[in-house]
Amino acid sequence: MASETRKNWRRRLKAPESAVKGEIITIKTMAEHIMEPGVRRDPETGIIYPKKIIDLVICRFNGKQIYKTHWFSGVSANPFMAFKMKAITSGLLEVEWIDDYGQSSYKKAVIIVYDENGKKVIPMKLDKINSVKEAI
Amino acid sequence: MSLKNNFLTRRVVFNFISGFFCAVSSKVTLADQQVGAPFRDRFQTYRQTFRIEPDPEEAKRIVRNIIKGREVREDLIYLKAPDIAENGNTVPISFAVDCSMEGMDYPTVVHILVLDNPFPEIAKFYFTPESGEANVDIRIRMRTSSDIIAIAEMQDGTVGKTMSFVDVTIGACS
Repeated sequence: MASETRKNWRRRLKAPESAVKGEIITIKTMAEHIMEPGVRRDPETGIIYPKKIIDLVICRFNGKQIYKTHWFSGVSANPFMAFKMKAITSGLLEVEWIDDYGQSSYKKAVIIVYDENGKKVIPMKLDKINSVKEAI
Repeated sequence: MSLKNNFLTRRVVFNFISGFFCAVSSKVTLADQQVGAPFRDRFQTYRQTFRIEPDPEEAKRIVRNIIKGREVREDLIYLKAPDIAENGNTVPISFAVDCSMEGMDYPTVVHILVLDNPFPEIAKFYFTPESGEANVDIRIRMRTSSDIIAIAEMQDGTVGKTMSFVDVTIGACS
């Protein structure tokens, strides 16, 4: 039983490790989940299986929400989704899946974006190095 | 003195005790339920709709509510779906919105509907200018061979719509 409950929690996130600034990158996500539509019946007892679906997927980059989807019961089981993102600065990508019952799970990935000259593009400004040191 | 006496009456104490027991018992019953096994819980009637037969008028009503009498552009959104799908449980589709994601020229919401499903709404996608291209691949369920509708609502108020027919050999659900 433990393995079955664990099965619904496996998530996958595939994003490129590095990109050039201004490039449009694809991000592939996959969640292992029985998307139970709330319509099927048990063949012996006739009791309806309760509805259990992932209904909200949020994608954040450096803490800012860039993309969101609402899903209903028409999405297939083990839902696969691929979407695009524009690489502007390097940073942390988070994808969060939220269940019908309010259970949430997330995956993280780090994307490093390089300039045309081959330098890293960092999300914070480094004009005043002392100010950063003071902040830390 | 009178206030102090009124605060802790016998009724108040009984209420507190019974409330505590109710909370504990409900927690225990929820924890006992196994995931994926059929069970009846308190929220089942609230969570479920027992309508299984598709209602084509409802799909039309949903489309009408999204468009709200605006002009429909046909060259805005492109939907890519297979002509024949063998298994209705996973039908891979993808859509792309033809726009530059700058300023007001980006889609706020993209709806996907399948007309003959018992629940015609399938997904809504919310975009921002940071998502560089409105292009998503996803896999859906289809009950019978029917039309797929994709509707894009732009930030400046224009609406685009496309349809494509998919032939399904083995349907999903029930």
